[in-house]
Amino acid sequence: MKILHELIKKPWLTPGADVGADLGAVALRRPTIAATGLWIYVGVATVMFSLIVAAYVLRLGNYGADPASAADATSSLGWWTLAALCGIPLANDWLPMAEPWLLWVNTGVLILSSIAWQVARGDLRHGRMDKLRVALIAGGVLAFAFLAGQLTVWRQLIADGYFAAASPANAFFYLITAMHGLHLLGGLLFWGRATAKVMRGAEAAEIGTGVNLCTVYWHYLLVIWIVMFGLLLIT
Amino acid sequence: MTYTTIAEDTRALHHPKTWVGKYVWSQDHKVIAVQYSLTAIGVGLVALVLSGLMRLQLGFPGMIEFITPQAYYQFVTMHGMIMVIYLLTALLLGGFGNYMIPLMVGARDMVFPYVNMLSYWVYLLSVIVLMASFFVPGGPTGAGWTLYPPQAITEGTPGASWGIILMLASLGIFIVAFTMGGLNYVTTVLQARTKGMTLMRMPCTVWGIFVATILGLLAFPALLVAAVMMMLDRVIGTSFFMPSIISMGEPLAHSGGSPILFQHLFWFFGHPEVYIVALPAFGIVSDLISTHARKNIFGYRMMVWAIIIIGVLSFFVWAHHMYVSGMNPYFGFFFATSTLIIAVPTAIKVYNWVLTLWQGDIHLRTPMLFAIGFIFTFIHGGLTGLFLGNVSVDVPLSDTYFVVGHFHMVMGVSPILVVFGAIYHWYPKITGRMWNATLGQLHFWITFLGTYVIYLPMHYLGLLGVPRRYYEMGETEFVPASAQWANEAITIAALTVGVAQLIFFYNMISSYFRGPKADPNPWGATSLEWQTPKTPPEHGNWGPTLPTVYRWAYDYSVPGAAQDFIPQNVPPDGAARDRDM
Repeated sequence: MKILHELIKKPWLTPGADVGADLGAVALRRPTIAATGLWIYVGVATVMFSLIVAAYVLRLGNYGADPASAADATSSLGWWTLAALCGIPLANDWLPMAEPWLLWVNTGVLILSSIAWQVARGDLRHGRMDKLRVALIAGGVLAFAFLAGQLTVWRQLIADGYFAAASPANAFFYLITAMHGLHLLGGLLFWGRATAKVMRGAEAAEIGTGVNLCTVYWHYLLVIWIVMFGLLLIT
Repeated sequence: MTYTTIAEDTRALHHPKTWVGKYVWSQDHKVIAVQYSLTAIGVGLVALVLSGLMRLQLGFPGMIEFITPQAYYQFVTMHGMIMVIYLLTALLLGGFGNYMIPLMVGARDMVFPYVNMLSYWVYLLSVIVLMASFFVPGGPTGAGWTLYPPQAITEGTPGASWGIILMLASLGIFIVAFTMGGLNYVTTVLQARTKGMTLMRMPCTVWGIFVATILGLLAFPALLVAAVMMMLDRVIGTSFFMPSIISMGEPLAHSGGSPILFQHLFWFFGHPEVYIVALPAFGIVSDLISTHARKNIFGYRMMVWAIIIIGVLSFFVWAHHMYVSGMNPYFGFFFATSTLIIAVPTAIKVYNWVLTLWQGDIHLRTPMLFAIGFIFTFIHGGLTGLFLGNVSVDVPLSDTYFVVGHFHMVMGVSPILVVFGAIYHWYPKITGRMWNATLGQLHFWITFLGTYVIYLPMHYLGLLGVPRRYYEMGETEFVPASAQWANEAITIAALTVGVAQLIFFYNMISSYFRGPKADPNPWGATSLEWQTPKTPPEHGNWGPTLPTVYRWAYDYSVPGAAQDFIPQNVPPDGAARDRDM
């Protein structure tokens, strides 16, 4: 752990030492500045999604508890134990939501979008700018298709009477998909920037950081989506 | 891009030609810092006036007609929220963080100047949305700064129609602004330090702001999630936090939600928030004490580790705000223990500040007075925290004025004293002018002594059992009539201290125009911000080449040195210090 090594230094003993050292490199392996920014942001977003998951679990109430012991769900161990510890009364209003098949399609589309980015990254590394263009556009279009698909799911669910106010399961579904969608939309801003540059005929070096970091971000959002989708499926 | 190309290339800086480009849509961290600070202080003055009005009601009930019970709760809410988030967080991180980080680590600017500019403007938007709630039907929310549901959004609470919506929206916007700023502060510290500026050569100020920013980045998402969920409960009728409830004789459409869930989310943010405010203050006060006592900070590594440990622990204590909300006793035991453990690194810091003063060459200039004043108020507030951290002591004291006295001492007055000290300390660098020392001392003594007149009696009132948040006391068996005398005295002191702040503003404003020209390094300080080629520093900070750092930030009174300080960018002259020290 380089950082720990750094933190036990006694700086008052060594005036003049470490001067040639390349600052940040002393402490951490140095990815580019933008990459550091992205990783920090990924940390922030992870905390946010984790807290939503925590709230989700705490709000499940006695859903899934053995009906025989439903009156006293605290007697058996499950996710309701956490709520009981936190002093949150166990609600019994959790109605599982419909799981439209379109969600599976959307998940597939998001996976394809991530793959397109991975391909773009490979093209970039080998300097295949023509192919890069195709991959970039595919990545972006697929992401838009995913968002359109999610909106369609929303419309179907609302048409079927799954209003947000009707059950906490519905409310969490809309909250999670909206938060995830907004994050993807933010990523598409950077996609737009990179794509515009490539269309203008930018060199690989100019857009390298953008493409690499977008790929990371897309994979990250894919993982988040799969975790969230899994959570929706099992409850 | 490697570090050197960014650092040495001044052309990469955005150099606007127009006045608007330089001072309004500026990407210079120093201008953004001043924008952040002035906005925060401006909105803080609103909160100060609100506290004066609250005190008038408490000291002289019914004297002012427009302070109705509703208005009182709105004042309480807005005062708390503004002071904690829109003043202290914005000023310490957006203001001091922006100004100090690049200068202290030897960078030309923040690493993402455009995002930094955006951060300020989004912050300003959040302030405008918040202030707009004073002008909507029903006025601002009166839910208390903790915004606990269900009452925050049920009818009957002031501002339940519009005020709460604007409050939640404003918080969301603020968090976006903070995240943009925070990404900058953390990345700049990690990636843009100049040659030789190892992590352990950074001044404590940078350490405090750095760790506080990380806390903010990890804690504010909890507030965001809570705000979004409450907004959905309020606007589209979901039941995240709303239980089945009968309001105004009618059952509401909500069911099954848990107000306790909100409390957990809120305090998962709310407790680290205390340290988001406190850690920068810890860092700044360390530098102030060391500089003005002409001694190296005692136990520098301990100070840094304590900041980090406090930061980590602050995420494991949140439920100590909820002892009376009801939770499993094991939970209460856990949180009481973790809370008391935080006292250890905190006490280390206090001892080290005192030991830094020990046998120091203490110069009682205004910034130093504020720093020492901070040690007093912080010890005081910290000790009452030991009372409240224990479940069994907290239960009877909770919701009394003891709590009000405690948190105002520890996270209201203490950081504010540091803010004043810091402004006096860095004012010569920021403006190039020197303030009036007599007025500075006068400002300090009125503020510091006034603090004790205001908050000490509150502890006593709390022990008597005077409940907080009450518009007026009415008759009780246990509160003697003399409690009202204390309330009157507190009010008179609070108004005096409030008005005395005009001395500070007069001093700052008149010195800006007529103050004597300041020396570039009037205190003989070692850290980099005092070594800039120009005062105030220009855009780009360092002229053609970046400074190189050879030593830590605390080489004061080094034996054998010509002066009683050696700046960080002075190379060792061969007469190196005794290695055994």
